[in-house]
Amino acid sequence: MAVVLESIDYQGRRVRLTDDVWFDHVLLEHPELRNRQHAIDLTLASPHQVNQDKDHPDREVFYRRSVLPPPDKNDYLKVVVQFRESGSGETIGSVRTAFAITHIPREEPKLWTRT
Amino acid sequence: MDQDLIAKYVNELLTLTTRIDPGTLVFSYDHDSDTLMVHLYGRGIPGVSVPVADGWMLRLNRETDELIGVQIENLLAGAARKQPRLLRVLDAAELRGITPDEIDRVRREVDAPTPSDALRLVVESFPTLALVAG
Repeated sequence: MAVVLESIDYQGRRVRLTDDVWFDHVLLEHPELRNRQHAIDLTLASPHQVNQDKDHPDREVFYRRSVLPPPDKNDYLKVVVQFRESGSGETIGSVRTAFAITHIPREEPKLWTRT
Repeated sequence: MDQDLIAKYVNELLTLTTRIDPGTLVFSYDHDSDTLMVHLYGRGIPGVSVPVADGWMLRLNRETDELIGVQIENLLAGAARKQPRLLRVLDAAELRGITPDEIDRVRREVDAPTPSDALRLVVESFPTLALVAG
C-alpha cells in the first residue's frame, strides 16, 4: 500500500492515507472528495472538533467546516482515523474514511473542540 | 436538518422500495471503515451525508438535495448488534476487506439464539399441521 497523504494532526501525531483507502473506498463511495486531499490534510491539522468514535475505541473522528468546494452549504468534512502504537512507541493514525456531512452527530462523545 | 425534512426523505425511501429500478441499486460494505453504502442510482453522484441517528445517514445529492442513498456507519460494531437481520444485506453487497466466511462468523456471534430461543424455534417449526391432517 502506498501512502498518498501524510499529515501531522492537531496533536502532532502522524496520520496516513493509503492508496487503497483513497481509491478503493473514499473516491469510489464519496466522489464529492475528488481532488480534496488538501481538505483532508487541513481537517486533520486544524479541526473544528474531534470526537471519540462511538463503537470503535481506537478511532477518532475529525470535523472541519467549509473546506469543500461549491455548493458550499457549510457542510463539514468528516475524517475517521484509527490510531495504533508503532514498535517505537509512536502513535500513528490511518484514515479509514472521509466524506461530507451536514452536521456533527450528537451521539459521538466530544474529545476536543476549537476555542 | 430539521426532523420534518428527515421524515420526508425517510417516507420517500419507503416509497422507493417498490418503485426503484433494481438495476441501479448498489450495495457495498467496506470493512476498514465498517460502513455499508446503499447507492439508489449507482455510484458517482457527489453527495452529502445527513445524520439521522446512531450511525444511520441519508445521502443527498449535493447539487439538488435529491435522495441518492443510505449510509450506515459502524455496521458490524454497532448497528448489526442491535438489528442482526441487517447482516443479510451483506449477502447482496460488494465486499471490501472481509470475506463471506468472516461475515458468517460475525453472524453466528451476533445472531446466535439462546437455548430458550433455539427450543422455541424448534417448537414453532414443528409440523403440527401434518399431525392434524394425518
